[in-house]
Amino acid sequence: MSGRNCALSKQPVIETRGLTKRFGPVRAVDGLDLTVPHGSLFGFLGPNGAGKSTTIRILTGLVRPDGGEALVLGVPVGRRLSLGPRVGALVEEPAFYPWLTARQNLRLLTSLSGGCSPAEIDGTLETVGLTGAADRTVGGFSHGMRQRLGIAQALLPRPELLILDEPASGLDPEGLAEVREMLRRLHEEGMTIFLSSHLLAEVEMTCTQVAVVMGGQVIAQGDVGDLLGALAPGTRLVVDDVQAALRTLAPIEGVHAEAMGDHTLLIGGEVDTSAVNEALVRAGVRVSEITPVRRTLESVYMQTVGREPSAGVAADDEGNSEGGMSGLSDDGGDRS
Amino acid sequence: MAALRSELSKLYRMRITWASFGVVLLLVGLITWGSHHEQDHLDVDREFGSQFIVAGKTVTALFIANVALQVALVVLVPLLIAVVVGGLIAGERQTGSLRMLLSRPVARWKVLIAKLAASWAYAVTVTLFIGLCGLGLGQLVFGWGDLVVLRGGLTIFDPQTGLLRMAYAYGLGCLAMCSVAAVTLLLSAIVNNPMTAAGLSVASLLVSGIVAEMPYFESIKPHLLTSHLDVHREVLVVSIERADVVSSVTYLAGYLVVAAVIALIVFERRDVTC
Repeated sequence: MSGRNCALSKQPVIETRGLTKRFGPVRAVDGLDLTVPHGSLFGFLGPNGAGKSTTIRILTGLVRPDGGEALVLGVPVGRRLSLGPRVGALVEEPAFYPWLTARQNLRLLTSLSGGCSPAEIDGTLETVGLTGAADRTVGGFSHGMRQRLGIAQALLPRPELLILDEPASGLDPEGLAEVREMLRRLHEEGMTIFLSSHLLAEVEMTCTQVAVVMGGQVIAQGDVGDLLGALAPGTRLVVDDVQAALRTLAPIEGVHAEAMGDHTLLIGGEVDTSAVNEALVRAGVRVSEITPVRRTLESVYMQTVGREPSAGVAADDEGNSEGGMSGLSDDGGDRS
Repeated sequence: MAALRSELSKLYRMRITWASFGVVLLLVGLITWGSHHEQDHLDVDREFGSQFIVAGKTVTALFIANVALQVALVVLVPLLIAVVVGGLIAGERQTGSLRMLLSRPVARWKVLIAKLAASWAYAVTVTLFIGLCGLGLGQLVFGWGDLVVLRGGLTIFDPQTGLLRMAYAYGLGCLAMCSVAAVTLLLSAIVNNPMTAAGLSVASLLVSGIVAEMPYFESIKPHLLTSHLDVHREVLVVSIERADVVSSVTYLAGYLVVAAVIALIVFERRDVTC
């Protein structure tokens, strides 16, 4: 996003060192070290039970850490109230008072933190696309509408840092696109956004940086662009005769082809696809498809948390696994 | 003040709150209706038979207000407080609205104080509503007159004194119910389920009441909350034993303050994991 490099030079908006939280014998957060740069749109990823929600609850003051340190906008979380409304948060599913209207709920919630003008509330309702439902009781809202209202309350009054826990949960494709667009817009306007999500494609499309948490520790953290690579790391071809294609390509220098099925082969690295196509056609191999293959955040995530990529992702990502998490700074390599 | 306005706004928009006022109105209505149809055979006759001839009205607006207070404060109002106040924290914890509220930049102690004040506001209004209904319906059906009190004897107050004594009684009833509300709010801060909070509140009052009746626990009886919840009766006698009233008021205020302080500590320190 524009201005990111400039923003990165500032103090981190979230910084945790050795953050720990136990629930009985379970270490939900286990020495978590996390740095969220100023101005980033930061994705916080991890499987269920990895410690994402507990970390967010600590950052928002809902849960007290047992050890370590957590700073939000440079202030320890224990003194977060001194930040006032500089931090907005939506933690897990939004829960409103169902007998109140959307507008009344926002007025009630904001009244506790200094209040907001009616114009600010109206403007935020418009931002999240709920102007038409502002005077309807929340009890009749759909899940998606509640989710948007939850984001609206987090935006009031306009914070510097927005913390969102699964903001896209339960949204339909149209709602997902709207939330994605809204987050991009807020980020471009200078807001730092920290969001956890299970929707890896959404994170990939939305975020500038990500951290992967597992077992209560950050096991990888880095820039999404670095992680995925600027260029497509391979090419997939669909041909009528894979064995003939392999024989044809084998002598060509710099081309490392591998069969992926009866009609599919994958060429690793950067190649001159027109030259490859010409060679195959000259050899009588019919080529019906040539597709550049890029790595997805899902495949990177799966590798990071030590799980096999799904079949489709494996096909997309095959031949590029040597990249692994090369784009990430490994903060917890001993656990990965 | 914003937190208090917010809590009061929530409290008085809840259906359960208005339903509880409806139940009180129903109870006082039944007492009035029953008294209207049985006024010739009231406890005066049952208790004293032919020893007295009572001239004039025994059932008046003040009489209904008094009977309603005696009846309602034994079980009904503590039960209503348990249900309504039990949900103030545990209910919000269960629905997740507490999570949303506390993730905003608001001091927890302010929220707790606001909830305490709202719970006391409810305890006071529901108690005073009994008096309002009693006086209103009593006036409508029986009219104004002396206050006849049957408690280990027959006491008759003239209307002016009777009204003053009823005001004292209702004031003390309000204090007693505020203590119940504080204890219930403490329980609501400890558990995650509003019904559990309500159940524990009622159960603790019942157990306390049963314990107070057992000779073995005679020594602790004066220190139990339930031993002082009927302090309002102490002002419905000709000569008020001030020491007894002051003692009960001190206990009630003590329970109220201690429960509020513990609730504050629990609420400040407890993780919000729901």
